[in-house]
Amino acid sequence: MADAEIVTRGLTKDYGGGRGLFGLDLEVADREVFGFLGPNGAGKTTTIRLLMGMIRPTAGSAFVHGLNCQKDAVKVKKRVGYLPGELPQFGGLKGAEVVALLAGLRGGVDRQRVASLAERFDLDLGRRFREYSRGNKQKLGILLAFMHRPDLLILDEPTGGLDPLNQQEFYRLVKEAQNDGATVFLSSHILSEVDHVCDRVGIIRRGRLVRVAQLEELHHIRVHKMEVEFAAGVPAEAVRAATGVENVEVGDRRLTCTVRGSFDDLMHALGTATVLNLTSHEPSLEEVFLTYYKDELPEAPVPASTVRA
Amino acid sequence: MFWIALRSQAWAILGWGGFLSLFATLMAASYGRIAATSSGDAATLAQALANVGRQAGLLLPLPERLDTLGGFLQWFLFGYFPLFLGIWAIIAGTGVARGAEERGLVEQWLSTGLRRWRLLGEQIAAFAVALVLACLLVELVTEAAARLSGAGEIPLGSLFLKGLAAVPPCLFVFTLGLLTSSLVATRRNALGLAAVGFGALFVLNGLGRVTDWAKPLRWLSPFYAYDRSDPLVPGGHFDLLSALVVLAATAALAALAAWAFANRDLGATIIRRRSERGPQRLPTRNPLLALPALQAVWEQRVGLAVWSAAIGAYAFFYMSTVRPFVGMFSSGDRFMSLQARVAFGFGPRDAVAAFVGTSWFGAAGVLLAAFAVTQVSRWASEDSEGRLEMLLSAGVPRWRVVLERPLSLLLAAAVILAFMSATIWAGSRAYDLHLSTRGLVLASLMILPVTLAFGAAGSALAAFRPRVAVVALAAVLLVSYMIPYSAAPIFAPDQPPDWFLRLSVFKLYGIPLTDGVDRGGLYTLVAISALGLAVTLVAMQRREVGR
Repeated sequence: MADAEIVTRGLTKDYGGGRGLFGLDLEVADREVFGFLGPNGAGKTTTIRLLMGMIRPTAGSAFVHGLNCQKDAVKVKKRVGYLPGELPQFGGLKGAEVVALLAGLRGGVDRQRVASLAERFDLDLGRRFREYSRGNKQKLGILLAFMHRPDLLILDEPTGGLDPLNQQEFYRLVKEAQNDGATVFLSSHILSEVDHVCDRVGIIRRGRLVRVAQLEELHHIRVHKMEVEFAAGVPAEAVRAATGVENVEVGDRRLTCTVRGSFDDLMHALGTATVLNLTSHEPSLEEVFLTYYKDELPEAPVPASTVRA
Repeated sequence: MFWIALRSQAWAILGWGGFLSLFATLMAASYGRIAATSSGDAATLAQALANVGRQAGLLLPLPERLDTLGGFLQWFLFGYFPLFLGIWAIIAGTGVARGAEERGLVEQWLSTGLRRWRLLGEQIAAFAVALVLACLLVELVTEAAARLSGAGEIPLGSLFLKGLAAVPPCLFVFTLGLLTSSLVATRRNALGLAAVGFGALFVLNGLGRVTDWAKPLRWLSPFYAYDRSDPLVPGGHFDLLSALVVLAATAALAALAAWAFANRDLGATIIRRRSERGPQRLPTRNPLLALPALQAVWEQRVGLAVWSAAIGAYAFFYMSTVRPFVGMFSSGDRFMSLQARVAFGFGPRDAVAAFVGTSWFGAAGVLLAAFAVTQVSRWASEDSEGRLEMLLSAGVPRWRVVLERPLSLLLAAAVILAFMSATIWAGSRAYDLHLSTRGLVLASLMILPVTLAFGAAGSALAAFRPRVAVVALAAVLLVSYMIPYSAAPIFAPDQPPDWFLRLSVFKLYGIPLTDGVDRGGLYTLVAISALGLAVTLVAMQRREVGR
């Protein structure tokens, strides 16, 4: 990739016992929104903390804008807006003081930019940090990451604790940052979230990168489990014949199936049947991995539950 | 809940009980050696100490029968119980209420269906048991130490009754901590408010001992009931009625605390003000937050004010006791003379200046070193709570963090020392003690290297073992402080060896008030600081950051 903003080469952090991150080769292009997708304990946070120079790799290297993340850690951080997975405890400081403290350390933060971000997320900076709810703490973290208009945003599970309205506001903010020339690297364990904002997605499991996919492929991956309850007869054959519909099982006035991609064909297949109830579940990442990336998964079973991501 | 509450006090029982047991051992051993080696006998000692006892009436009960081991222990060991156990009580009271609430534990416990009044009731019961256990530990150690050191025998039952007398007033203070936890929103503020209440009750009792005008009000303090029990002296008794009155007052206070707790929201206070202001969107313009090192001082402004005020107030009180103490140590008694030379630097120096230079500035060094320990604890928690990660992510180089921390420590210590020096200067004028202004400034300034050495050593330790750092530093501090005061009793009637005295870090401070700068000590302290910072720099560059 000619103008990559983030490059990792064989990046490894071995915590022992099969935990950590192993041989990560990744390139994120300039002005790209890259989603780093994986279940809890997959190695997402480890990757992010390696990029931020907070921890040292066991092997391999990482570069941001051509700068080595270890040797040039301070220069890297000056370019980055960072949202950690767990916000620090600022105790009795008011939100306004936390912002002033970190803006003072960075320098060059526009007060009006801060006011605009606080307004968008309806965040009261006059309250003490310890009085903030989980969602408000997350909003403050987002404000701190975006306030200096950084070239690169590294965001660890950024929508955790946000309500749907604020999630939408966050997605708009990410798109605006991209339009202003920023690159965004965000981690998530929610498939639909990366679908909202990302150009490409890296899928990680048990410390290894399983695949880097375009958004179209992600749409292909997104499989919904459907459960339909009918008033009378079940149009089983029509449903089986519908495009994208698989794993059809028919019970007494009840039908379950999986749908990949568009719902259009399934809706046509249901035709004139009277539907009493229809529910749709997005499969967990683990189910997606087991269904679609069985052959690409790491060979040795390793305990992943204790790895932070 | 009772067992959980009691288990949460386990380390406190061992810590406070252990500390007081150490003190008790020292006191019992001292009495044995003093009574055996001083030129007179126990009566001479009693006479010498009686004058001190009257002067220290604000802090300690008035002495009775100091010619007996029981009288000596009742005054000089058990006299400190309300102070030390009271401090434990307010820390524990606010800790189990507002502290546990801040950590989300109270919400968890209440979610199990536990009633609020029962939660408080079981916490009070558990703390009462914890107090009894800690006192029992001290009593057993005291009895054994008195027997082994040859100081004499003292009935364990009397010791138990004197310890038991401390339980009701300390339980009252614990309950006060529970109540203040419902009045203010944070544990720190609840602790501060409870400390003010505790201090007021403690001083009221002390004033009642030494002044006529406060005597009629003395019954308002629960510590008066403690003073009324004197089972350790011949013919003394345990005042059951007073203890029951204090327990009844504690029950009333507990009912008030339970009502306040039951009628407020979790995380809120009983007095809830509605906010009339609109939301704030702009960051604060406070320039101190943007200046390296000063932002840490600004953040701790309330704590610094409390430290300065407390040390200042104590300094002024201390100056009132200088002349009687100097008189006692100049009495010519053999042991007193030895103690005066070893611990207080008497001899070639002016006695008043030597006493202030060693006892006050020695204690000030300990207090500032303790302040350094609290800062080390703060630095360790900055990492564990994720603040360090956030600071580094703002592009702050690691070396800057390492250097800013001791700089902020020095700035904060300078504020406290400036306040303390001014109070000592004012006290010396008020009590007509001739101390040189230059000497006072120098003695205050020389405390800074001691503070820095503790801070730097602590930051080096914290870089490797954050949890161990605070405990290790506190242990070094305590042992260093005790060495000069315990040397005379330990080695009497001989002069303590120089190597033993040099085991104390505070020996490096010297006596700058009378002797000027101890260059050897200063260079050593600077070397310790430089080494500590160098180790921290290397460790900080290599270590991994984050939770």
